Amino acid sequence: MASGDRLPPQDPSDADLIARWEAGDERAASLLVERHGTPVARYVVSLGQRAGVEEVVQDTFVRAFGSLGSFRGESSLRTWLFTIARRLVADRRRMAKRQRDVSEVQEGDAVTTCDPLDDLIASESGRRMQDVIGRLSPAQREVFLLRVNDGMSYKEIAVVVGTTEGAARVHYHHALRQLKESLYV
Amino acid sequence: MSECLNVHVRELLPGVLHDALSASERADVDVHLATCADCAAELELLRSALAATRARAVPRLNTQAIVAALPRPRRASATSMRPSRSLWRMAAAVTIIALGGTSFVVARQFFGVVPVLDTLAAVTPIAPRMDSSPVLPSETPRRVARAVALTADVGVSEFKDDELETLIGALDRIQAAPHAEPDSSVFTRIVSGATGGN
Repeated sequence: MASGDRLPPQDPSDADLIARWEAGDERAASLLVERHGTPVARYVVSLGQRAGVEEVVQDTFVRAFGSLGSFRGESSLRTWLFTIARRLVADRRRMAKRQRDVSEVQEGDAVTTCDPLDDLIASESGRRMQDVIGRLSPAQREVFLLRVNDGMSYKEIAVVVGTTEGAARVHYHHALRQLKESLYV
Repeated sequence: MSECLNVHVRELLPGVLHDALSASERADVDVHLATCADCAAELELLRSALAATRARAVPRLNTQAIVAALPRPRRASATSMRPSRSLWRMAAAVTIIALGGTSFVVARQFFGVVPVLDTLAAVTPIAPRMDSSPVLPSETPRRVARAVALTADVGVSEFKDDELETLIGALDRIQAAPHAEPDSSVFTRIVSGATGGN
């Protein structure tokens, strides 16, 4: 998986860091959190989670490190972390819905409007872009952002979102077409 | 804005943002972008989308707090050096069986307690048996029955005549000790009393 947080080639791989952590190297865990923490936080925010993002990120790492033995390395560590984070966000929404703090929020929903106070966008075009992205359907938005923000393949997106590669591809291209129509027509 | 029909290149465009393409893929994209305004515009759109979402506020994470909360890995080497619980159980079972067997043998040697067969040999005719245990006629002397009982699990045939004689002699001396079992005549009287006969 590619990433804007791409590391220089000499940096240890995730698998190396996991092995070092399991051998008792605390520093390896710090490197993994530094490497993947912010992308996970950004993904959680993109799902519409505003409060408790740090908690979700921490819980994600706690869950992941608690079951590293079951991580078979078939997907990348980041894909696995995103999958866990997504499940945690869904759990929080269910709990919040039960407590009636939040109503009519479904799993996979994300923000439908942008908050200009929270999102400090430098340019007018950036604000407009964010507004258009905010108007995509939840599924389109999630797939589009995983592909563009995190550079995931359709296969990885399918794992995170719990869908098929074909469906992920369709969502991406529909999102792209909608962005073009909204921004350039 | 129209869409280019070169699906291969369009699918590679997000990879350009993340510098995730191989050299040959990057070359394909660069050659195509030089002549395709649609794909060049699409790449710009993707760059704008990435910049807009990256500009979104993301809370600063406390790495040390997250690491401190992580469950510590279990040391495989430390656990493998420790005997498992099942091993302890197995060792305890073997010890109990060995102690029980030893106690039984010692009790048999020193107190002459012969379970079941002694009494049965004295009071009941012996029916033909299908197993390999020795079968004695009903008139077998008590001391011989006892000797056979003691050696039943070894097999009488494994003793020579002189060894058998020695064993019977030893058993006769043990016979002098008080007998722990009720006399069969007492048992007969009890039974007839209970049934009302004499």
